[in-house]
Amino acid sequence: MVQKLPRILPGLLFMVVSVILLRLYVELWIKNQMVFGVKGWLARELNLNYIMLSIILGMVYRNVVFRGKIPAWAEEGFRTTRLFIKGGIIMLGCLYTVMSLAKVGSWAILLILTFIFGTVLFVMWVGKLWNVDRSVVGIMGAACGVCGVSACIATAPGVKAKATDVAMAIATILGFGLLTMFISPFIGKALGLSDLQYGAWVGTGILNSGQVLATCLAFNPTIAKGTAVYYGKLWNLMRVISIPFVVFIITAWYYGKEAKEEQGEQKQSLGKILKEKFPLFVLGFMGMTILSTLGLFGSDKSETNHILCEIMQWIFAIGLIGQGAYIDFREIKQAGGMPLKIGLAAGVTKYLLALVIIKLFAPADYDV
Amino acid sequence: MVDAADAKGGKMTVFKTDRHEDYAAMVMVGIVTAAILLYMSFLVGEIELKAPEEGKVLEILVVSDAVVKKGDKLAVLAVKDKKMVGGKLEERPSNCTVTSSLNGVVKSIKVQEGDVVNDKNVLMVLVPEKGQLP
Repeated sequence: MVQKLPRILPGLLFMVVSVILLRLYVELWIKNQMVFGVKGWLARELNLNYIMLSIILGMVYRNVVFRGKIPAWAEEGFRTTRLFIKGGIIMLGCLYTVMSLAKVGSWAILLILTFIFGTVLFVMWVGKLWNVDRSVVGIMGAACGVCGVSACIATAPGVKAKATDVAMAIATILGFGLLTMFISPFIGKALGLSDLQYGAWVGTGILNSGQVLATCLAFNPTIAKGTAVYYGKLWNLMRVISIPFVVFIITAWYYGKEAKEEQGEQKQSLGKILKEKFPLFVLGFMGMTILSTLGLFGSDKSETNHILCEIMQWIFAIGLIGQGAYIDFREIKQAGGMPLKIGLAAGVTKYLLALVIIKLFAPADYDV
Repeated sequence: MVDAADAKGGKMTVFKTDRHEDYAAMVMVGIVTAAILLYMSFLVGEIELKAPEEGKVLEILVVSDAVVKKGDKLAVLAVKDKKMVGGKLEERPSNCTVTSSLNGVVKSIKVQEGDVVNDKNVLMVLVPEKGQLP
């Protein structure tokens, strides 16, 4: 590894400098643009934040600047991309505490977990029905079941997903989320949903975290206890904290089936799968959440927590530029629209089923 | 020039195996987190104390160069407690006492009594004692 350092540095520095320029200039410029009379509309409504911009820049490097192939001088550096993505996922854990789940309520936790794992199983069933590649099923199961981009990226290494498939999965989640983000407030008002019901519905049914909050604010712009954004945040929190468990189940499913196909009917023991294949970095995410719960990083509004969050974003951004650079437009054309089809099938089912169940069974209000 | 990397072939990593990469990621985060905690505990010069929410400054309870302990009251803001009840937004005026989250010295006070502030406004700047996390 040490001998590889001179070969890694050029590409790595290239990615780091790109992120510096992106975050300090491009992202800031986008946040300050007035569109439709609203400052920051591009960042908020189109999700043009550092995550999307990093992936897009990486894709531009690969398909335009480098004309389809990462050059030899940068190759080893770009291969550090997953190290940074895993690092970003681990640091994401510092934003959450186990105690914040206490605000969610036991019936809500049960409903959210049912939808999360129900969606994962639904995607696996659809994948089997349509004979879809298992890696695609794995990342779409996580993406549709949990919270979109982070879950997809966290699951990808464990199911050996191609960068192209990850890109298609992310595009599907964000595209579906964009559509539902705009139509949900109209549906919510038409059906007379309360703030609790609306927040619970979109917190369960919309695939991406950022879009959950944006649509809650569109429904009710007030930020206070008992408003849609209050409940949307809580329900979304539960989904994010379930990432390690979803990754565990999907990884075990992936390698269980792989072993079965390679070795006939001989079963792969769960212990062996865990020992050899489970993406350990996800345990790092849990570890950070536990440390955050113990107060090691101060309160969620502390300066220390703010700095940790900032560093996490930078680490993620470096990884996502590399991720984007592994996406070849020619491969996307060849890949076809399977992630899109699965995403739409799972997304629409979840969106509508969540609406029905919440409208029928969720209380209009409860004391916060 | 090199061909497009195949993720399933494991060429998307500089490490021997995915497992090595997992360990490396955890070590990297451990080092970064430890460095941040050490910096914040011992090297950070000053901390900006921002208003917890939108409100009006009623009272400033400290002066510049005052030594404060964790939990000491620093200011009082008049705020509105907002809560959605039965589909309607209820607002109740109340007072919010801003307390210090650490031991330190008040370097400067950035607001006056009567100022209207929000959660982006800095109320005062504190110089923390070494050895604690702000």
